Amino acid sequence: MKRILTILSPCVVMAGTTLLLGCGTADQTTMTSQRVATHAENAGTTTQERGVGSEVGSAGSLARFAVANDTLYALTSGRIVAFDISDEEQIQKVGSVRVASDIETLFSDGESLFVGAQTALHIFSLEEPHSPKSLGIHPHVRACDPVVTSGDYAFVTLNSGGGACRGGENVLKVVDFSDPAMPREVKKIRMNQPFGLGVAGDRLFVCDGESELVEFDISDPTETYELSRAQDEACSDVVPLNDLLITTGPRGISQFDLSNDGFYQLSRIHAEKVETELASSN
Amino acid sequence: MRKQWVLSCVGWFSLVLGMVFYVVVRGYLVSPFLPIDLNQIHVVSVLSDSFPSFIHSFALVILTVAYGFRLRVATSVWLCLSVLLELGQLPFGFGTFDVRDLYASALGVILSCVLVTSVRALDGMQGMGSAAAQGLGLRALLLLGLSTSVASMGDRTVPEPAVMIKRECSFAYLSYDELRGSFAVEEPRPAKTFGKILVLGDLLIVSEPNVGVHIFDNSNPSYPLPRFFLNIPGNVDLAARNGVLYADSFVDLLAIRIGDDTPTLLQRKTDVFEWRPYQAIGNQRISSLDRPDRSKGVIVGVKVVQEDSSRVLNVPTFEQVREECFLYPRFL
Repeated sequence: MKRILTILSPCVVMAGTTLLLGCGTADQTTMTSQRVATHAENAGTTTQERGVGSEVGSAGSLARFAVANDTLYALTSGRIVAFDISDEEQIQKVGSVRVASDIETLFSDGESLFVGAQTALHIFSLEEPHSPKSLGIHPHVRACDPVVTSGDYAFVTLNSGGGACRGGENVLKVVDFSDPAMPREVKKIRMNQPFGLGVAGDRLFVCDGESELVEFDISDPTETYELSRAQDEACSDVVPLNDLLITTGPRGISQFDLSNDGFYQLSRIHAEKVETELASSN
Repeated sequence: MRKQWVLSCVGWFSLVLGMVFYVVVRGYLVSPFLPIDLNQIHVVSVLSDSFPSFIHSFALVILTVAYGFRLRVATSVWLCLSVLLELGQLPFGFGTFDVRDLYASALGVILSCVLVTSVRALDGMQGMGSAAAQGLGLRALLLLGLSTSVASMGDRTVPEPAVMIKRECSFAYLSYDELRGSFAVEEPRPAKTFGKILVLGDLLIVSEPNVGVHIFDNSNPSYPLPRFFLNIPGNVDLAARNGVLYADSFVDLLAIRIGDDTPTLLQRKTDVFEWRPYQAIGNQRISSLDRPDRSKGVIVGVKVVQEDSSRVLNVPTFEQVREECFLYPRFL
């Protein structure tokens, strides 16, 4: 019996090795999915500043900063912190409101603050700019949710990416918040894996999946429908300007002419290079 | 007759087992995938080195007997050959002489004697086949035994032991004083990644997360021109109002005047944001590193110390940290 054990022991060693290898692989998978969440957090985000005037600048939907009037709002430690920036050389921290520990994105339409969290969309009134007041929570909106608004409607993308956002759906939701205390979902559109989004007039642009940029018609937000789709345009966020659409993604920054229907690429700034590539050479 | 078959089966099985062990198992004992190098354990190392010698003599003696030779002939032939071959390694300088191999060979011969005698004691044993067949069998076995012995002296066929490259990783800090002196306007340079983007008039302002801010003149969107790079460690987000750019820099908030001229720092509001230890190193808790120490400053990367040299990975991705700091065996 002992001898059999002796003979078998190398097999045990080999089996152990296989097991160890197996564990290694599993471990790696976990790390990858965590990384996806990290990407979401670091990719920067979007805020479509409506009605605030171009002096504020336009940014994407994955933001932790938002500017409304003379106040800069920032998300940190689960709070909204308000800075008075009426004198840019004398920034004053003027207020701080506790929201939730899982808040991720912030944007403002000048009158309200919208806070995208992993579990809900929080809406705050800016009537008193230094102490935002909670108006309502839309609990059905969860995941790492970039939000933009148009009039009384908010557009939110939910994606099933890894990490804290695991298990979410892959959809674009249209939420009616004409009564901020009772936000109401009016439309839900299935997508591949939507991320950053932006509104330009009646057009809504959404980064979808690994390589697509999708355009929606939102002239009637309750009847939002897809207009066109650009393949091979990896983006994580979009900034729509009047006739210009700027996207940012892993490959770099692309700019599109929006004066006509569809997407006409003007240029691309590549990561890792200083030069700009002209659309013609693309 | 049946006992001869038993012996020959045992013999061949042992021989094959020895070869498999030699090629496969000995390789695995130094496998990079095992958490410890089993060769570090003396007993395991000795056993694995000498087992082939043992099984070689053991199997060949039994086989020789099984093919009808007298036990005395078999033992003396293989004992002599093993000793000669092992000692022969000394003057010729190939293979590795190990006195333990001699003991192992002797032990193999003795054990095979015990086995053969005990099997024989049950019944008298007849030679297998004719004398001519016996001679052929012996020659074949001799050839086999010699060639396997000589083959084992060549370069080891198992991979060289994996070398665990010993690396010590620790957080690389930027002290609060350094952070507060870090703002600088520099020449445009390539970005590894792009994060938040902001458009202010004709300017396209892009954050390279945790590194700084790139400013482009975008008056012609078909050809954005790089203008400046702002060194802002720990930057993640941007906002702008009235020609002033607001940017976070780890725990601080900066107000920067931008426009046609060179950007200038208007104000630094210190300690207004959360101290996030993993912000610049992939946002992952890294348990193999020491505890992050808030009093030392903000964490901008990972310092890797290997033997006498050390280097700092600035703003590494989590994959890089894992690659550099988790113990990975490497074949040299």
